[in-house]
Amino acid sequence: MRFASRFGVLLSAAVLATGMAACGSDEGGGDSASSGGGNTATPREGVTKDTIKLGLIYDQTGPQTVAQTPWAHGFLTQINKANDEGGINGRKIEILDEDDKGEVPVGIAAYKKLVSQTPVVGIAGINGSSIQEAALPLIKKDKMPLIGPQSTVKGGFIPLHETIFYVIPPYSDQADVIMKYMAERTGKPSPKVAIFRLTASSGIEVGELITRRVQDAGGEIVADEEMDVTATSADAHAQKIVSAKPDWILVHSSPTMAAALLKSMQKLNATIPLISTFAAGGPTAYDAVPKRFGEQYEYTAPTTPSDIDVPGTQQLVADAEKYGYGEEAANSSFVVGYLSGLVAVEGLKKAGPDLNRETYVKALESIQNLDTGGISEPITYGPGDRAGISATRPYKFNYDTKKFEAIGEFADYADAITNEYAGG
Amino acid sequence: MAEFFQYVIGGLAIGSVYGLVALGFVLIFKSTDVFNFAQGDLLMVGGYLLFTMVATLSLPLVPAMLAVLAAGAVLGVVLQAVVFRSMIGRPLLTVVMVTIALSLVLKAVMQIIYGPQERTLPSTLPNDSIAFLGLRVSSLDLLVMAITAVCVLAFALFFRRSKLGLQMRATAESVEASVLSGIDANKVFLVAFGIGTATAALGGVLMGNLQVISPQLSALGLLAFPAAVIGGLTSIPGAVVGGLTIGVIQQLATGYISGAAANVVVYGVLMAVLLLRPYGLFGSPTVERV
Repeated sequence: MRFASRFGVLLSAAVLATGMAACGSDEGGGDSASSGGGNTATPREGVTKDTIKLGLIYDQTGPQTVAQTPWAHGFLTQINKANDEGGINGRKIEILDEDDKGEVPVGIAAYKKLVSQTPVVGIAGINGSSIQEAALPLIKKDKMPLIGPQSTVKGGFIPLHETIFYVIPPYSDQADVIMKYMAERTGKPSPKVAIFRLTASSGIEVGELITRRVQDAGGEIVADEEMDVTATSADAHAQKIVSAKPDWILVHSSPTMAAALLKSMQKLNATIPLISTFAAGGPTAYDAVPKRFGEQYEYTAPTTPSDIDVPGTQQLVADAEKYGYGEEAANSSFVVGYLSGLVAVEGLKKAGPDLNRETYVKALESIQNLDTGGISEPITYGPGDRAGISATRPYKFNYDTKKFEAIGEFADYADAITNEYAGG
Repeated sequence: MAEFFQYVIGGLAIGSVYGLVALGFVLIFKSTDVFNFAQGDLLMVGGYLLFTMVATLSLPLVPAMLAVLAAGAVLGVVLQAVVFRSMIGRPLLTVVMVTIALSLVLKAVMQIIYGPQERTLPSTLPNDSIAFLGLRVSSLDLLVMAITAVCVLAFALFFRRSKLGLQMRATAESVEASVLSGIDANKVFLVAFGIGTATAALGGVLMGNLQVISPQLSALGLLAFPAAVIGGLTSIPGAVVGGLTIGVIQQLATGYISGAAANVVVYGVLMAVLLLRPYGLFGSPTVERV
């Protein structure tokens, strides 16, 4: 009796396991079963007769949620729009979103899940530079299309990762533009520079890029401050920076951290020119301090803020309002997400009905001069080119009109860009 | 040397906020035995409530701050009545899990209501820079320290001079004995949660002025716990001293080592204190008959 009972349990378990395996092979809607190994991409993972499954990995509950959620909403705006227009080649896009909590192990687990457990044809996001850095070998091995991460990493360009399609320029290009612009703004071609950066992979990268350029220009780094994204005060950082008497300050942080730095500088009554990479752009830092301190702060970005009136930003604002994200339209992360979604949808259209990870990569690579309506320079990829947009320019906030203003045209800074990461 | 004092001043300002949050934490723990891991999230709620009062309802800043304190107290009473009353007598781990769940719920609710982006107050308390003896002190920092000092004084008077305060101290010593002597323990628990949540909300109000308002404010609670533990976990002055200690250590570590080292030093000090004085700086050893 006991034997029969045990045998029955074993038999039931075997039947259940077989059934689950069968279900698993159907899940991807593919033509062959998934091994679940993460590196055996079947031809049509994530594509069924009626749906295209795209993964979306971003920080939904961790320390970077403030910056990454607007990015995701910008991306989803384009996906919703494409679905409302009838989908892509008769298929609706289904988003499988995963929360990486801003932590490398969680992000990697989310990535692996989307590769094999609930397979998708491509992934958007993996925005945290540290998580992205850790995922690079897996992305290469799995040949997984990754579209428009909010942060670039050097390792994504060198060596070139064929399946990663960035939308924003590499930090090397941003550093080039920052150097050119700040030399003009301060009149100091060999400057003393202070760096204020977040404790992440991109913080180290940006710090090294700026340090090398400043030293090559005959200048010097007089302070190099790193701040944890969860830190609550920038007082000590500001004190050290102000004491070092820099000609200007390079900021690479979240908008919250940039606001904290400005508030701390206000306490010290310090007015030193600041310039930020695109990550700390947007209204937050400006809203946090009075004009006298806020007007010292400018940022570079490859995208045009939504309050600067060009056809692309008009469309962006209308789309954001239609899909319930109107309040986030002014957020620079939302704008980048919106362009990332545009690229993802354009790639799906170009891949045609025979969609799989391989054809999706080829389709994305074939995107040339994708018009963004003036939000950015046209987006172009090609063999060896995965940056999408290279052009970037500085912006400032006009406290009187309460609007952003571009400082020159994108083309004005093209000659500064050395394409350090180009070619892989 | 001026640099050192500059770090200390910044540390005392941010430490005052840690101290306030730790004070609310200790008050709740002392009176109800609830180890409230949602204290940092209640601070965040206070920040967002202030934003609503100032930006949406267009209230002047000071009345808005007072309204947030009142709202915080009401929220605390509601939480005690709805969530924590039924937790009395339950195992410690169960109660801790409930507070962690509450923390996640509060964070999610705030994000649903206010969206993911940061919020800045249209007007804040004055943040002018005052120079003296070669140092620069912000009027906002001085105000934050003064508000904390007033709160500590008010609490000290409340617990020593008021009937309700004495009842709370008695209940903290022994719930059974206080009930036998006619004290309404449920009322004491309600008041403890009301005051504890109001102090967290006040912390949020101050942080809303010092920084921007975002879900990240809840992370500040992580530094209120070591503040409370260093202070002795059941000592109200200890909580404030613990908060100030954490704030100063954090700023000195950032200033003299690096930003990345600040938490290492803070938690290193916490470990050292617990190794040398397991009951904290202001706590007293518990003797149990076996």
